[in-house]
Amino acid sequence: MITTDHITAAPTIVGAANQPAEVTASEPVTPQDTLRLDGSVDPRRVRLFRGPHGVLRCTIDGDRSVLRAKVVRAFPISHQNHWINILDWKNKEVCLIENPDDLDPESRRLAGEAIDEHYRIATIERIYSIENEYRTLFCDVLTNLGRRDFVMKWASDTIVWLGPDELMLVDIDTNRFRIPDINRLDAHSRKQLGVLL
Amino acid sequence: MPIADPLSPAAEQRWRHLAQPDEEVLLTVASDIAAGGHYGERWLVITNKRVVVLPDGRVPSPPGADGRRNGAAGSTGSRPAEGGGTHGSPNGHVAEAPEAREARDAPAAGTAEGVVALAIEELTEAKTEPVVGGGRLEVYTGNIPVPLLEYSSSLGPKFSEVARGLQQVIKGNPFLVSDDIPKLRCERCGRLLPEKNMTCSRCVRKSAMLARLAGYMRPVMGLSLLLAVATGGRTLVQLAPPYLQKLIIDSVLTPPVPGGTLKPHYGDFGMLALLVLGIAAAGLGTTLLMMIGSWLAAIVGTRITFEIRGALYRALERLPLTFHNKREHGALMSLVTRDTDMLNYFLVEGMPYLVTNSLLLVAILAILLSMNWRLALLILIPAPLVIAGGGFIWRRMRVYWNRWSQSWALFSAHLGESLAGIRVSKAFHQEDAEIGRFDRRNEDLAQVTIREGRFWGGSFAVLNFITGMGAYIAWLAGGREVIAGTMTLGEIVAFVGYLWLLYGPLQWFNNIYQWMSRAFAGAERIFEVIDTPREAFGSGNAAHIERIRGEVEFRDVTFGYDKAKPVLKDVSLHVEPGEMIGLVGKSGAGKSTFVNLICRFYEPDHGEVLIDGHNVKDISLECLREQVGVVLQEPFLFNGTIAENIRYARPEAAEREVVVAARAANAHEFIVGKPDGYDTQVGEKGSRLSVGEKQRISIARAILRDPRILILDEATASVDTETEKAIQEALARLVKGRTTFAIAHRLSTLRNANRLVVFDEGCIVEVGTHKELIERHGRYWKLVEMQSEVNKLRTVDG
Ligand SMILES: Nc1ncnc2c1ncn2[C@@H]1O[C@H](COP(=O)(O)OP(=O)(O)OP(=O)(O)O)[C@@H](O)[C@H]1O
Ligand SMILES: [Mg+2]
Repeated sequence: MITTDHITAAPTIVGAANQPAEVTASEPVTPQDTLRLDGSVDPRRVRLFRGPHGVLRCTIDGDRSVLRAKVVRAFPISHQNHWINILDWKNKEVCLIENPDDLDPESRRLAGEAIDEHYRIATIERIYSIENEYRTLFCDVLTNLGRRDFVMKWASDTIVWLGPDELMLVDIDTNRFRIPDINRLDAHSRKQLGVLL
Repeated sequence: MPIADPLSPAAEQRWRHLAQPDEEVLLTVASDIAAGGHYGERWLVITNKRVVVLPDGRVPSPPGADGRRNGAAGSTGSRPAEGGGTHGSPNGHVAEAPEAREARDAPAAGTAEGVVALAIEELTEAKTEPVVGGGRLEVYTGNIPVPLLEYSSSLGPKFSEVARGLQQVIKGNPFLVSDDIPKLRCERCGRLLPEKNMTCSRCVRKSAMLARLAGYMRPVMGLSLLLAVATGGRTLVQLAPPYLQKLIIDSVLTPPVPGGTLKPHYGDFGMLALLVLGIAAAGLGTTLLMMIGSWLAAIVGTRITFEIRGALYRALERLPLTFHNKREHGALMSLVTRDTDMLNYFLVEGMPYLVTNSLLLVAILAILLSMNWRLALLILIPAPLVIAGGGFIWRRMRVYWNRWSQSWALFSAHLGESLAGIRVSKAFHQEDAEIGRFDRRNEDLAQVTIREGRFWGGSFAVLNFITGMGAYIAWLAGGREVIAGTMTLGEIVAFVGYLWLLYGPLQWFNNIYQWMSRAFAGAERIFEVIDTPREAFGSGNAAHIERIRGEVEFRDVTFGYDKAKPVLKDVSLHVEPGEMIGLVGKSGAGKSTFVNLICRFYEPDHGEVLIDGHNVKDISLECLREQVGVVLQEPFLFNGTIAENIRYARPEAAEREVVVAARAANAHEFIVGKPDGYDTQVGEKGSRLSVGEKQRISIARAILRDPRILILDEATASVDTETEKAIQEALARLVKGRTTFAIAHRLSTLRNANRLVVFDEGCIVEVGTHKELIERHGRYWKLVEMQSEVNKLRTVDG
């Protein structure tokens, strides 16, 4: 059985500085609060850097420091390049940044890296074949990460339009594949894609 | 499917350099992401002393080589397909290119490159960190996380198990990992499987759709045979008129040529009348046989769809919740209603046409060839074009129909949902937005229909013209023969008559394509559902426990709706028969998930849930669900009366029992207060009752079942405290002797609990009585502190 002992034995990654955040949440918001109600914080005060083993860390100047941060998109489909959320190890919010370009260049770069780490989405460059069988699609594609075949179901949540020409495919294992612009694919690929459009 | 993957030759070589003499290898597994994030392999070697990550082949490897190498990995057969085989060459079984093999077998420059090795004794924890579309295996040295390797979502289940195994080694426990890893590829042909562990559709000799539909014909075999006879007869009768026309022209109407053949019937009106009568009789016969045929077809077709619709609904009821979780109800409804209708329509109307016209086609071809084979061959010149055109249309139409069904499904799903949610729309004044959404779906549907119609009409017109070419040829070439005297006038008239009969079917075929593709697209979707493995309902050698004592045990249970993201993590709990357990914890902590596993709505990914010492998987579902009563978090009532809804648990229950159950749920008073008492109609989904009333009826329903294990998931959350207290007192009496799990956010609800179990992020963090937990000053204490009722509880407990 898992008891409290186990929990306390687990590594506490989030710095002690993080603790007050929970408490302040229930107290009235004062003007000095770094974390505004919308979670945003002055981006100039946010700094991302890498610690040992390349673990991402985050400090908010004069407020707190998170020993292990991750960066996610708040709107992964509708806003790919805006509204990024820095979270701590336990998925507690550290801050929300509307435009990552407002970060200092190094933090900006690390944020981009961290986002790439968090979203394992391959970009399809060529489609060798798509076979439709009983509304199950067997796909064989070349991506920026190499060749891959996958199976997907034909459904509204597996074939997602990200833009007028931008498409995302989600396979049965929830692997994701992106086609940034279907018009830029070669003729053969477009023909194969026709099977599912 | 075993979890271990044998090392590739390159990794093997690396490992030989790295292995320490007294080291025992516990597990080697392959991930499908190479060091640079590209698809490729990396190996994890877990030994009793170290955990080592080995790159495979060249590092980093160009994308092209990855694909080839990994495709080959799936084909070697010696290695489980999922190792490198989740990606790769077109079918996963293409021979390995020589240069790729060389690259793999050649010793990599600098063995240490890309190798990570960590001593087990330095590690404190191993876990997986899910990311979108994959995951990362991580170990901790002290507080510092060390990422070991990445994998795609396909290997999520495998690496959660690996992490669990590694954790055991770190904690010094025996290394035990499950070999029950879902199979991703067909072991025979290497093709990816659309459902884990399913048999490969390509390897199972897939009988054609028609053969499968014919299977459903068995109950109406006799009628089907009759139908075949009627259809055949009609075909024969249809063949007569052109021949009779030929006789009229050649024997009766055409004057004999001097020196030609004798014409005994020339100008014979009696003969003419007889022949015309023959044509009329053929017409009448066709009509009669057609009537009989459609009548029989209606019966046969409807019967078949009846069978299929039944099979489909049975499948839907028996499919596990994991299936229903993924589907929209509207789409499933359209499957049962519209797609089966489509199939019916085709079987009743289209199928007889198809059969008659196929027969006609063969018969006419035979007649034409025997009449004048040269001319017959000439007029057949456009036929390949017509057939090819038909084939083209057929394929395109299939796509259109699929799209059409998709739009239909979305349309009806939206319709159903928006009507069900009409209160919310009104409350937020979103009627216009909903109307907008509806219009868009409606527009989509219209667009698809229009596009399909346009394509259909256009291609059909072209095809029609091509078909007409046969007649031009017949008149031209046949006319020349008549002029030359090698063919009679009657013959050419009959020829053209048969020609239209011949090309008629070809046109009909195109028409039928439309139906058939539509019907078959539906049938495909239907069979997809029917073929999905269902819940093992009391099957096999499942134990039947007459009377469950109520001992429940969770042993290291891990479960996630998505296997790579566990919602319950290594949960263990032992509950004695008759105990009342209160489950508390934050929203989303996994309480409902925990009780779902007791009902076996879902099955643990690993670990076991035991009832009376039997794994729930081995208890027949029937007897399990009969003796486990649940009040779900969202009360759901069926359209019908209150009594019917309470009786849902046990339809044969007497009125007295219904009343007793309702009383215990403190529902009796409000029920009899209604003008129609127990016969009050609750409305669709119980919409005419308040939420608290619905909850009490669901409690009554659960109580009526007289379950040995009672599960109350926020069962009284919407009931005022006073009523709740009354319910609890009644329950306390009823609960005696049966095991109860009660989930509540309002902690006072759980004052009768023997023990409280505190959940946090999928783990049990505290177990004990209210008093113990308060004294411990832990999570529970914090929860209690936060609730305003804390003082009241203290006085209750003394
Ligand atoms: N059908 C489902 N499919 C996918 N994820 C689910 C499903 N049901 C629940 N979850 C997720 O599992 C986690 C645990 O949910 P669960 O319903 O067990 O929580 P709970 O403790 O009962 O919360 P609450 O007190 O709000 O009812 C949540 O993160 C939830 O989002
Ligand atoms: Mg719940």
